[in-house]
Amino acid sequence: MYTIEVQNAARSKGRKTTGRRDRQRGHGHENSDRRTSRNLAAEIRSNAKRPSRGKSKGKSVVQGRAVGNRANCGSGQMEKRVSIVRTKQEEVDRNFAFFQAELPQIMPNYRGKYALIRNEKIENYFDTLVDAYTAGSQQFKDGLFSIQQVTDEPVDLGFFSHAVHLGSS
Amino acid sequence: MPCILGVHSGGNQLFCVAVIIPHTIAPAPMGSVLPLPSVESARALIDTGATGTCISQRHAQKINLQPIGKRTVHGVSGVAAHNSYVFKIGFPFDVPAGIPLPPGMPPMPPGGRATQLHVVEKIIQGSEFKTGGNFDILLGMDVISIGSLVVLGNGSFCFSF
Repeated sequence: MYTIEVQNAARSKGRKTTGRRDRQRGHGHENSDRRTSRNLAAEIRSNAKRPSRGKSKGKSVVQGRAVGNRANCGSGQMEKRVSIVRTKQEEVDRNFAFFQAELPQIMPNYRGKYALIRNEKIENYFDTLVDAYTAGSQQFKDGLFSIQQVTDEPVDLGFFSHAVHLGSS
Repeated sequence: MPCILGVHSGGNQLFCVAVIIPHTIAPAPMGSVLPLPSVESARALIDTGATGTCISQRHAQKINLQPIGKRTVHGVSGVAAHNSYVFKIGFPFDVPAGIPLPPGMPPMPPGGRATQLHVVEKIIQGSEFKTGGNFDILLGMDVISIGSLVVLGNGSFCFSF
């Protein structure tokens, strides 16, 4: 565990304390952005189809999230960023479909390992997530790769899975 | 050892405040100062029945996380594939006023507020979920198991790590 000091640039300063028991008091720090959750791909498609508005009041997609009234985000810049996001999501989707098809064959030999995948091809297997991520970042500077753990066990969300409908993405 | 204290009103759910830190952000040295916009705190549900920590879709978009893969998630409607992200998790604490600042730090202005962020070293591959509740992070056993969670009979709980 390490510690980062976070400072409010406008009015506060941070400092480090050690060797003491701190009480968390930040329960009021809830997100102010309470937009309706929507599928990212659908959102991107929607924005891509929307006529360019330049500096209008329409929402702009900036690297995967919608922000309102970004005066410095022109339509050309917005489209470029949308394209980047779409490509990353598409890469992940394609690689996952490929991985699911390959899973029965690779499971006996690589169970528990992390597969580094690019362009629907498994580049290598790693023992840890960090190793796979580091290798992927070094090999593919465009960031277009995905990591899948070789397992057929789904993540169990416990209490939450019994309380809220999850939907799918 | 930092300790998160909270209440479990009615004895049914445990909540705290946590911060998702993208793995692409390099670890900061002890005592370093980061601008606030780089972190977004969110309400987290402590769920001992969950095997893995998850993040809501809306929060992942808000802090601009990029998907690293997909994971199958067992939910109430069955098993479905969801985006997964690589990140670290931290817990913010208000620093009490009156504590002298370490050397090299600018003095705290009157009425100023400082927040200390304790970051868990472990790198997490968390799945995404579409929240229907009032929280954006689901703290699973991959994080809870690094520390100690004590639920007290007086309506409070303590998570130290």
